[in-house]
Amino acid sequence: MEETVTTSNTMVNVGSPLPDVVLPRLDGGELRFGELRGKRLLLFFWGSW
Amino acid sequence: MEHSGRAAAQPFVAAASATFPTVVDEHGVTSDSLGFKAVPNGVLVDEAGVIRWAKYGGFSVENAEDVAAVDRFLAGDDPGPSHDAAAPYRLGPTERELVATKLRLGQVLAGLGRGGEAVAAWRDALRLDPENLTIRKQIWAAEHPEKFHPTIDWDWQRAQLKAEREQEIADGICGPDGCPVPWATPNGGMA
Repeated sequence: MEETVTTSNTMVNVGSPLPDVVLPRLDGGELRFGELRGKRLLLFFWGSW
Repeated sequence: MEHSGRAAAQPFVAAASATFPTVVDEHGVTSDSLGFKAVPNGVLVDEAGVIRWAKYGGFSVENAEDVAAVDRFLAGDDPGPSHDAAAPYRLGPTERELVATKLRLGQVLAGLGRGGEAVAAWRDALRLDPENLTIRKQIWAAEHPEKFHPTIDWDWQRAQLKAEREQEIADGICGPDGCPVPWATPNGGMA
């Protein structure tokens, strides 16, 4: 199965919905991105390296 | 992005006295779904869950322009135009699953103290996804911890990346313009 391929040559997906992933919280439990609906968010992606 | 587990992230969150929720992505779920292959990135999302601004690579709270965009957005205004970022290839679904499985395997092995086997699993993942700097840096951090603690040696990383790229070109994994892989689609953006 091929994934959908768009003609865009940039990856800034402004206008697209944030994928609704579930990840473990550092302080325990889980966080689903969809739970944050209703607020303006800054998501910061980083690594320790 | 911490393929070795949450313990690696904890000291940084504590040092920042972070009051916001922090989640740990050990298997590349976010990089898969958003299509990025490096960090640091900043993404602004509105009340309806729609992405309104994004900077992939080089996002920093020490960059006045980045902070200004965040401030505008949180004040209820338009954050301004996003930075263009070249779209990397995207792996097909089978290969994405295989990469995630190799990352998980490496994490388990690292947890068992089998560091050499962990790195081998991460190398398998990197060979499938050779532009993925989050995997590459995970390997570096495991093999060369002295280059990351107590401070990160950026000059070493640049030299290491150059050397590894040259080797990958010599090995036929990558070309001079990047690492096209046969199972990838040519777009990192979302449909």
